[in-house]
Amino acid sequence: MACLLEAPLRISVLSEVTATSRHYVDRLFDPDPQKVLQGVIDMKNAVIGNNKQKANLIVLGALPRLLYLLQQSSSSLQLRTECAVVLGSLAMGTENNIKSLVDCHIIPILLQGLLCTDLIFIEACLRCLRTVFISPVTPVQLLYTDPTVIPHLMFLLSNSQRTQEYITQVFSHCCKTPEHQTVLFNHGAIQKISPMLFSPSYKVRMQALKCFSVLAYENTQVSATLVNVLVDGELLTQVFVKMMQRDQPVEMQLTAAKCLTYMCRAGAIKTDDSCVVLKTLPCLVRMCSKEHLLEERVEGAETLAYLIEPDVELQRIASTTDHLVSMLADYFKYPSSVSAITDIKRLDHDLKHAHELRQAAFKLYASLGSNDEDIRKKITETENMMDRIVSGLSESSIKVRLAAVRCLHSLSRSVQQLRTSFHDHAVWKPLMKLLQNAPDEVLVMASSTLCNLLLEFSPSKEPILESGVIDLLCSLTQRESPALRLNGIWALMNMAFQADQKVKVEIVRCLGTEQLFRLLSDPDTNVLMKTLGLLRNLLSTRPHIDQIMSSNGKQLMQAVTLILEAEHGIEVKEQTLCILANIADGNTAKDLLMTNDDMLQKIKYYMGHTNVKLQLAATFCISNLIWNEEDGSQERQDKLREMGFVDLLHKLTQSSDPNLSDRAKTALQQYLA
Amino acid sequence: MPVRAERCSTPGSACPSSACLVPPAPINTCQPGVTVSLLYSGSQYRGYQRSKGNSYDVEVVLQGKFQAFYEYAKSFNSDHFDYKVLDDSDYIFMRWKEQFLVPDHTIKDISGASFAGFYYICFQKSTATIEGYYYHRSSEWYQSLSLNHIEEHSVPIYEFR
Repeated sequence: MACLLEAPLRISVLSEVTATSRHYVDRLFDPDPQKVLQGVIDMKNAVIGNNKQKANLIVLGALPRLLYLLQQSSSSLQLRTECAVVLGSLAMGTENNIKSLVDCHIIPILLQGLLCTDLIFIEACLRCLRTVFISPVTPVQLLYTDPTVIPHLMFLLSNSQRTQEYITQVFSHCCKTPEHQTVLFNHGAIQKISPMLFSPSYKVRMQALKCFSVLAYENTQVSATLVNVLVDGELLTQVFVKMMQRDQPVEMQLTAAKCLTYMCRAGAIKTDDSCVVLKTLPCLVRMCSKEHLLEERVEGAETLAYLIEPDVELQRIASTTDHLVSMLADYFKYPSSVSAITDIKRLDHDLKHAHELRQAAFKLYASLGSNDEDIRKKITETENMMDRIVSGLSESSIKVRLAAVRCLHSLSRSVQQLRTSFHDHAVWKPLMKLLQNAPDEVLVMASSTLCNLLLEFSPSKEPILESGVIDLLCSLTQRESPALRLNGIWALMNMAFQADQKVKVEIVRCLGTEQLFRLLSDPDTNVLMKTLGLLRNLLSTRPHIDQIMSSNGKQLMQAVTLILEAEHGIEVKEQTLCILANIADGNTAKDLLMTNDDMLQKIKYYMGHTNVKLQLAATFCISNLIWNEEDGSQERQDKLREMGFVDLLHKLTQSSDPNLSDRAKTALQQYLA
Repeated sequence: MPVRAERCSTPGSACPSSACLVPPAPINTCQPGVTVSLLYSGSQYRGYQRSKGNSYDVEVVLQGKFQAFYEYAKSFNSDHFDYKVLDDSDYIFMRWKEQFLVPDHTIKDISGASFAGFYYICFQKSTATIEGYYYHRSSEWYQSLSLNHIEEHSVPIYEFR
């Protein structure tokens, strides 16, 4: 009953609004150009701050008409300019508005308009273009489809502060890929934008800075160029350092810090450079303090995590700056009933985005704890941190789950942590749960962590094994992604370290010999190395060696031969020779070597190789074969003497490498006993 | 932050570089090759600990730190120490700290058998023996450790990811 009463009222209101809007649109079709111009001006005034009006006008077909008027050479400059202004205003509405504008081909039309010579008109077009391009619904590729656009925009840069502001804003928003970076770089972005860092306009300085940050990101060419740029006789890096000073707006400090961070990660600035250690790093740590806004703390932490990720010295410095490890603990407590937030909008925003803080904290902890044991201890001893990590692993936000598992992964690189905090909090349980139906990104991180949890000295190994992890790991080795294949085989290798026979048999059964040999020809060298490592582990301790060689010996010897004969790096050959050395330690397995003259010749070859590591591995192999505590050693010693191995061993006792000469001496002593 | 592409600076490199892995591997580690030092991870030593006239059987399995330390001793702090001498010497000196008990790591102290102090260790390469003395401010003198390396002819390996 109630809705029946409401409906007619709503329709009449709607028809009122629509009638007005239609009137605005109709006036655009007036034959008198003066009336058309006035119509556009009135429309401009009507839509300011009125999203409803904007939507109505678009629905009623204002866009194609406005665009037509803008393009017409017969339209006066004033009319064309007013049309650009109205369009700019319509673009400030909703995302649906933007979609409609883009569908009407506003971008190529406005870009065409930039060929005009009138500055006011150009500025109006650019303003609208800016608003359209920075919307998330606009495909950035539209900036790059016409190859004349970028050079023309570069040309327009110097016309006025407004052109500078709008164009750099477009650039910084639309530069998303290495290809985009290259196009902008090749058209002189650096030279053109550098002077803008000294513009009297803050907006221009900020946009220029943002441009540099997106251009430098993971780009060695751009970063290497930036490091040598002089602006007004001052090095660009020094300009960035000044922009990080505390008296600068936070946004500027952060963006300047990002520029230097990206240049450093791209290899253009060394990690021990004072502008990194004494300026960038402390600035980013400052951003993490409670005094800053949520977004600033998130960006500060994420950028710092990125900066220090590959460098243990920076990790150490960061961990002792401003008590960062405990400062980050606050990220998990905000917002709370005791947080001082007086602005309702801010409170609402921060409640919705609190998970961003948590994921940023996890990311930074992950970087901090990736290499240093003392830092890991600090992190796990921070109040409630292990509980927080465990909760993070099952949060609804995938960003948080991913960051939490990254953090766990860093901490898992520690014998002590594996045996204490990881055991106490049974982290293996939420970790295993996370693996189910996980997207690849999470799978990579979680399987990396598993590699460490499956080590022999980790109490989590047992329960994880019981939960059927071998199947999962074997299936990972079949994945297309090299990162997943690697983690699968790495985890199996670590699992087989000092493992009992039951586990080894299960690995071989589950993986299958076919898959094992497929992995031995994997195009990714890391995968090959870990497969060889797995074999070494399967073939360790005598009874295991004999058991595996008795069922798979022939194929394994073939695989080893293939690898030794193929083109491979020293590390690969070394691992392979170590496998042979292990086989030589077996009882029955020794015969597989002794009866294979071709293989013995290969070992001889490697004993005389130029690389000491290979010589050592080969010598170790022979040493095992002739070890006189084993049955049948006499016959083996005789045969190998006949083949010239004793002479070779004598020669090696004279080696300048002490390890090699020692090993050769030890081997020769077997003949004397 | 921008979304990162998974890229390697040396694509298709024959060298098994762990530098371009995602996530990056621990620094200064690589898959163990031929063992050149008896201080490799997993290396086992057996012997006894003597104190107060009693002798206790001890087994020590080295984990984690030793190989890395051995290779990077030169980067540890000292202004004028000649590390080349260490390289050539038959002896390696170390200080060991017992971190926690197993199975219950939360036990911080055992009366009459505290582990708050350090063991001062001398490892002799040529004989593969370890000799050590425990010291703590309030401990009695000459609690000693004496271990011999257990020879292995087929050594398994692991590497932290």
